[in-house]
Amino acid sequence: MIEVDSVSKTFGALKAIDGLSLKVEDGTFCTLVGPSGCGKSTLLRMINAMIAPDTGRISLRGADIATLPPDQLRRGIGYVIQSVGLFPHWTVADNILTVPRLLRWPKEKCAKRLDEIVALTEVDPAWLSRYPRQLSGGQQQRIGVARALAGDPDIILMDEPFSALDPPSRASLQAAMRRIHAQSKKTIIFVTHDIDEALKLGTQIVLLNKGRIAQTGTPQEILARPKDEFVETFIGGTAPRLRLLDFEPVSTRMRPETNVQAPPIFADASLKDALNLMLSESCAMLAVQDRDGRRVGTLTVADLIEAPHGS
Amino acid sequence: MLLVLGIAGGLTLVFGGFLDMSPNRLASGIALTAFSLSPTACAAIAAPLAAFILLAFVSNEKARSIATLLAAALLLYACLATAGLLAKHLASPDKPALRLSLGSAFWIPLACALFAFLDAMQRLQFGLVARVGFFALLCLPFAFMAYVGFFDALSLAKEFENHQAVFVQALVDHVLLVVLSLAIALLVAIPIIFAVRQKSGLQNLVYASLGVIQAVPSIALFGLLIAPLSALVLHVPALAQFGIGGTGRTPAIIALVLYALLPLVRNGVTGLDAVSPDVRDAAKGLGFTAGERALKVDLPLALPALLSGMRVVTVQAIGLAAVAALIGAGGLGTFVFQGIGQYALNLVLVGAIPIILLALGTDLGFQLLLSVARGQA
Ligand SMILES: Nc1ncnc2c1ncn2[C@@H]1O[C@H](COP(=O)(O)OP(=O)(O)OP(=O)(O)O)[C@@H](O)[C@H]1O
Ligand SMILES: [Mg+2]
Repeated sequence: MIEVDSVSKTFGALKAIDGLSLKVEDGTFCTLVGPSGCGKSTLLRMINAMIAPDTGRISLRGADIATLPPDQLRRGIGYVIQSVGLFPHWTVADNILTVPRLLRWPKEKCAKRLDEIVALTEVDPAWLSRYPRQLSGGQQQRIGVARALAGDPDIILMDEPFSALDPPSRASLQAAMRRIHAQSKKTIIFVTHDIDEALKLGTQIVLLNKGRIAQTGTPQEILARPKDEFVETFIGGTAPRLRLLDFEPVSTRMRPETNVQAPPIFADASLKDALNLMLSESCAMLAVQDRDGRRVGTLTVADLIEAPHGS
Repeated sequence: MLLVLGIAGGLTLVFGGFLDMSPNRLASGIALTAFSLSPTACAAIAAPLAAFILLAFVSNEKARSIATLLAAALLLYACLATAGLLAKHLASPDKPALRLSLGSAFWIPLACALFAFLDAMQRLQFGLVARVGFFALLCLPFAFMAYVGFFDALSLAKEFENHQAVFVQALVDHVLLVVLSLAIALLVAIPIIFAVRQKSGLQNLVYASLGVIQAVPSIALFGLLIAPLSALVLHVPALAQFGIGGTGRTPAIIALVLYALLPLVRNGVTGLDAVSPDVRDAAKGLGFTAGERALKVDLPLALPALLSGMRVVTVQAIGLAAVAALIGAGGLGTFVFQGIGQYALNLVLVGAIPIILLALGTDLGFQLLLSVARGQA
């Protein structure tokens, strides 16, 4: 568990982090989101002791980080820095193996880990013998992510790791991160200024504004009940009501009738998929089936707008 | 460029003395022009020089550069062969004291050939390895000629032979002096570099004080060190057991170290400044200790700049070490000062030529190292 307890950090006259408290349970995919300059990077860098808080304390796995040797602390935390910062004098393979080598893993273990990471982050094996300057910005970012994961840390801090990627690469790396999270139950803190990305990846969203938490909760909570005007405007661009449909399966809204003929949809599909199907089939009603193809109910446009009584 | 080389070489060939003949080692001799000695030899040297002048008007750069390389090689060996043959011809066993020194009509065309080589190789964009290989190829016949005694009649060779035993010792001393002071300078410079980077206020102070040292003429600095060191040894006699004294190697090494510090520190700081802050930040964030950061990130990334500082310093130290002979530090400078003292210019050359070759070779070596270091970073 990561615990941030009434932490403040001032740069000159600027309060970058202002009495902030936050709890991130083990296995959480926490996305830190907020406008530029709101203190996301500062908060992230306080967690691996790159920046010392002025007041308050931060504990990791129950231990106050101020009492731990910073180098050892950092070796146990994966870190993707915002500006990538690959080592220009090392090959891509050497860059990826930075932390395993700091941890003095035996050679065979390093080689095995390299293969795993290359597969996991979809790094082209042809890049391994190249130097970072021979890669594009997006390719370098991918290596930055691979480097952060290589030491198999249980906590991973990522500072806008996909900002320079094209949409397909970004989507594939997002999927990879979700896969890694689901399989390993690592605790991930992921900084982004893209609310869409935050909602897509996070199991816990932390919305920051001017060094304070504007709201924290699951994506559904944030979308359904924005706490104040700031949150509302910040999530406004994402069509929050449409977005919510993403998180709810058809089964929660369907009515029990099974006799009407209509295009079929699975009960565990999302409401968004259902709406999309209605729009593309130009119909106001769908026949709901379970995975074995048995008819279990019916979904109408009206059910999307308001859940039917008695369901 | 070629035009100037051709004309300059031609003029000295016509008007300058090719060989200086003197009845003994110390008397001043009479200059003999190449033409008066042997018109054929003169023509052999003049032909490549004329070729330079003609080549200056060839517009195809590649063809011209290749032809220049050939002409320069011909010029080089025409000079060498003429010098060896003529000296053999003039020398006679019944006049063993007779001295034959090479004059301006030998040295200037030789220098012209070297300049032409460098220029043509630059234009042909020879890589470093190609350059080294070409020079090695060029020097091979010369080494063979020297080995079989082709140049024995020249007094330069005689001086060399006379001093052969001491020569090796002097060469070793010279190299040792340079290597030792360079190693010490590095050990001193590295902490200064890190200190300067930690405290930016320190930079001006350090640069200013090291700059003052650079401004002191080398002879003066060697001299200035004698008094305090003598006093030190007087008070702490134990030091004398380690060979430390007011004269000899100690002051020479101290002076060379002092001269080396500014270029080393300046280049080191520039090199470290060039390491991107992102890379340093990443290293810290991934859990490098301060020592690992310095050794595995800062040092390799600053290495090219540091190496180019060492290149300057080493070449400079090879020259300065010659002056150190004045305060009894030994080395090749000994011949130079002996030669000056005895007005035996050939003896000066016995010291000076190896110093120049040493400097050139070191420079080339550092260039090689640099290209390797740059290729990695
Ligand atoms: N080392 C520093 N010295 C002075 N001010 C700083 C420093 N680091 C951050 N700040 C300031 O603190 C505030 C928060 O910075 P931070 O880098 O945490 O923002 P961010 O949310 O990560 O922004 P972005 O999305 O642009 O990366 C900014 O106003 C920034 O100017
Ligand atoms: Mg940031």
